[in-house]
Amino acid sequence: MIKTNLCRVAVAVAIASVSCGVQAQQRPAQRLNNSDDPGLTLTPAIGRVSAEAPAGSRAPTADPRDFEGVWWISRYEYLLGPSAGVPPPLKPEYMTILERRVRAKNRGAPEADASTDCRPHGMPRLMESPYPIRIVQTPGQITFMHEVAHNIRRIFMDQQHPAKLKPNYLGHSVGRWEGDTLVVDTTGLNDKTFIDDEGSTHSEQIHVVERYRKINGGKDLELVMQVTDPVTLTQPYSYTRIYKWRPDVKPAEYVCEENNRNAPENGVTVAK
Amino acid sequence: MKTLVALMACCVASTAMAQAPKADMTGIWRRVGTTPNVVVDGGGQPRLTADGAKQYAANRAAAARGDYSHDTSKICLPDGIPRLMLKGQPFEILQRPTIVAFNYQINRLPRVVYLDAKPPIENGGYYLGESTGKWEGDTLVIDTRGFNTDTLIDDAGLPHSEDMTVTERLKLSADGKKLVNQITVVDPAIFRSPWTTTVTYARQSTPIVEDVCAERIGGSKPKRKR
Repeated sequence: MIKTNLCRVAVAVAIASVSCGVQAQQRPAQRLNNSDDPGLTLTPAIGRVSAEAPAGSRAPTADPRDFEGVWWISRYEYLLGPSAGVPPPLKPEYMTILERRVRAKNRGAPEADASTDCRPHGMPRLMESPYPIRIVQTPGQITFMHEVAHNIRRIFMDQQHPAKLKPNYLGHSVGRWEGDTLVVDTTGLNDKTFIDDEGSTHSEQIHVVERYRKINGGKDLELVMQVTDPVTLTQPYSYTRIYKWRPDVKPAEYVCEENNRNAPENGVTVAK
Repeated sequence: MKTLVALMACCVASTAMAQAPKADMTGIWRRVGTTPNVVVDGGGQPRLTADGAKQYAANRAAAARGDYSHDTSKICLPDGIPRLMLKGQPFEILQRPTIVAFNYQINRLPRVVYLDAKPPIENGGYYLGESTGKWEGDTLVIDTRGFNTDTLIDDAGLPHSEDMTVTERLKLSADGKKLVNQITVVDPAIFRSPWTTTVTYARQSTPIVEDVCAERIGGSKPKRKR
């Protein structure tokens, strides 16, 4: 457990390099849109975040609609496009902004987004967190309790979104079962967050649909994430992620606000 | 044989009751009536040791001159336990067989009470401590310990040490609309004797809203009192 926590701390602190025993599995650095420009080098993915639960851990239940427990993403991507190392299908003006942000990061002065300031990560980025997530299922509601920055998402089952939503960081989520797949529809997100860690832009019109199902005997939770944004994207896109069943993990107290060394100054993340 | 079967039935039933209480506290709750300072049952304030009184006086004096550096909740660090249970903002309880989660509206703070673990869970030093619980009939009894000393017990600045233990006894009213919490604090370094305060929460029909402390105070502040 302590080892796990240290690993998690390392993931949180390191931006370009991660000392978590996972370097060997990282891909070689790629550049944005296969550019020749070293200033557009992308941060390599973390090839393995969570492994399988240790032998002897409590087995997942056979109920395909029982997601309750702790899950942990298997790998971590800094760019959330349709496939690894590929950016979201941004319109040209927003691709230019992403290039600017990647260059700023490579200069050592990354542009600040909400999460740098201990505000929530927004969606879809929150689901890419390299920290564990506890799912709690109660009548009419499925709750995601994220270790990262004490984010809590409530998915209201079999409801409609309210007609008028004031945009906020995690939006408004409604869910339904399609067979044994949980379909979560999120809207009402503000535009203060980035799609991903590299800095892809979304607008308040972003619409996120997540499809979750248990696979591999319940040891994996598969997410198919679909992102739509008529303002910044040329077309909707989707990608797939795996979260590992981790009944052995107790998510830790995570206090971003404690001694936030990376608190932004004038819009730039300051590493101290 | 008949007696043995009856005996087994009794014990199986009693175990089942401990694991599956009739009470369902799942829902959103908000304290009825708040005070900035703890009022112990029967009236008055907790009786402080000399060291406790000194810390409390320093906190009160600082607050009187507008200095809240002793209260790290002002820079978005978590209010601890029991302070979160004494505040006027709503919180949500999610009651499940092996955990009971308390998700506070204040800065979206989570707390998980483990019903399948015994204290201490890890090494302590947490803002919210580490909570384990058990059902005694329909009363949820929560033991919380393993704190750091960066939190206060109440808004008025009542201090505690890292050795504080907090026991909460939560029980629903008969109609399920009220939740009563009998909170007992033991901390010999700060208080001359254990004390208990009983607070009541009312079930809410409005949802929890997203509260982002860093936004409320205009950005996270990388400052600490020490």
